[in-house]
Amino acid sequence: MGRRRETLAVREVDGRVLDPFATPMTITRQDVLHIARLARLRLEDHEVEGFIGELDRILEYIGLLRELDTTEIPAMSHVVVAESPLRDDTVAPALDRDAVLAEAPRRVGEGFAVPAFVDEG
Amino acid sequence: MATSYETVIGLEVHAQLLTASKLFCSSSTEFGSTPNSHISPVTLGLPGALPVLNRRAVEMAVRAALALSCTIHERSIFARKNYFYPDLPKGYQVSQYEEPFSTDGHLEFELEGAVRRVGIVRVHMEEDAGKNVHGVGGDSVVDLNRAGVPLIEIVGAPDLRSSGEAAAYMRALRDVLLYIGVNDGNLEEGSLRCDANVSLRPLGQVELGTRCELKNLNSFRFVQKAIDVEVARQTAILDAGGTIEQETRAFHPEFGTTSTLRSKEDAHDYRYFPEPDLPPLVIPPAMIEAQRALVGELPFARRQRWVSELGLTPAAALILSQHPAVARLFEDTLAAYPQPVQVANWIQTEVLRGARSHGTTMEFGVTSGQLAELLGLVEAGTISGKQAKEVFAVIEGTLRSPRAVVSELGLRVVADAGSLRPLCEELIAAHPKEAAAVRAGKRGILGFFVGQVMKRTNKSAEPKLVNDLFAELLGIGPE
Repeated sequence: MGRRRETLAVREVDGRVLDPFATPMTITRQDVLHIARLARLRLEDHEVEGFIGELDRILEYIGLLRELDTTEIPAMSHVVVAESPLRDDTVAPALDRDAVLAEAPRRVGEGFAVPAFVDEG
Repeated sequence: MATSYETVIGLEVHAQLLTASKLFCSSSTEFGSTPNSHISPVTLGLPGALPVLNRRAVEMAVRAALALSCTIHERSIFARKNYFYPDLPKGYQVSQYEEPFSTDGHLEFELEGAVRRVGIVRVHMEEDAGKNVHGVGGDSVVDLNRAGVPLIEIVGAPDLRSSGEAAAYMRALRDVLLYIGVNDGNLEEGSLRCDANVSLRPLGQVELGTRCELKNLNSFRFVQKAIDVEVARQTAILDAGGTIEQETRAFHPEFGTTSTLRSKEDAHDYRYFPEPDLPPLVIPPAMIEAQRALVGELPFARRQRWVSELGLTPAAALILSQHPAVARLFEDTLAAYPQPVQVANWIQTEVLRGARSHGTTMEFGVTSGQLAELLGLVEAGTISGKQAKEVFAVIEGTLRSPRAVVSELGLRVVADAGSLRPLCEELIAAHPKEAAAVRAGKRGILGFFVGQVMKRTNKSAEPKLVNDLFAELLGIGPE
């Protein structure tokens, strides 16, 4: 985030500092429908309106956080554990296939059956 | 006038790392098992299951990146690549995105006598998806044995300019990965997979044209063929004044065509974000140095050295360097019998004929020790080159000593008509009276000559052969 800040112009208008990166975005109906499609959610019209408001409030909060100057602070992806533990390359017994397939909606032979689809690679 | 175009190709290659267990859990990676026999809560993406990274996968990935001259980053992070697909139980693939563990390398190879260097943008680690079987009634069936198997993705720079060059790059990459023991080089079983980004631009233009991505080219021949087909398709569109749409295309080897899989509108929006279940990967300098030591001399460098220092032909050097086991056999034999050209000839003709490869290993009919001993017997004049091939046929597939086989079969140069003939001629010249008697029909006198040869060769000559030789030389025909 700090890196991006440097590349964006900070303007001064009417004695007020305007940071384009800090300008709150607003969520459109299009945004909600796009996100819903990616998440495979079917939304009713009134739900779309509801999400516009909810997501707007989240962005407002992000806007609030952006007021902090984080130029000198490196981006952080994880908290708590500083370094990934590594395990030895040993094989452990697998789960019982029949027990697992019994939990699946449908099985064909030794596999999970799903509606036919095309491999996209 | 028709415009001339330059073809620009970049390959993305996925290589399966040869670990025993998966990238993030202890399920087996064994190929060809019954479906869904290598599954765990992590493989299935069950709630609460947490991934733990496989150290050996990291080591092999680092070794591969070093072999490709990449910079290794001490700290890298894993990311979630989100999409919904039946073979991806979690709804995301764990990959590396913004901060991969290695970047900025290159691969060198020969093409038509010239050395080509192609950039490697990055090498990152990721997990494989499951395998799907289609056309089972109205269903597709998912096998998750492959889900979670460790892969490296090797992203090549768009430095390739022809389909032939792309195939040569792919072969060179396969050879390197096989050499350093991280991948078995098996395209048919899918342990090495290739996608090609192909675009055209008018000759002289710097800016890249719109590219199409060709998916899953699972043989060197298909890499070349698919690119040829795609270049022809794009050329026809541009020549007709059209524009190329950025899209993902599938290659159909049976028809020699490509077709749209996804257009730009359907392009995936993967919403990458740092994988919260995996802390950053920290690669300690000690691991990097240990892996660097395991890289060793790569096939390209080895070929060049064999040609310049050992006097092999480039063709012989290529054959002997393609598989690490063959290269090892060649060098081990040389250590005991330092005649590179003879050793190279024997390996190419006799040894490779019966050799069988299994991934990174290869089974030969003889050991380097047997081969060196056999060639030593020829050089010492104990047996002829022709007899050496007979001995080879006997020792192949056994651990028997060539020397023991030679004495057991009584195979000596003296059983070789070519080497006995001068001795027989000498004896005939030295005993004109006896020779004349034989010519006059006294066949019994032949025994005298045979006896002389046996005396001179310490009884190691084959009597029947000697008898026939004298009969021929004295013009009386065989008995």
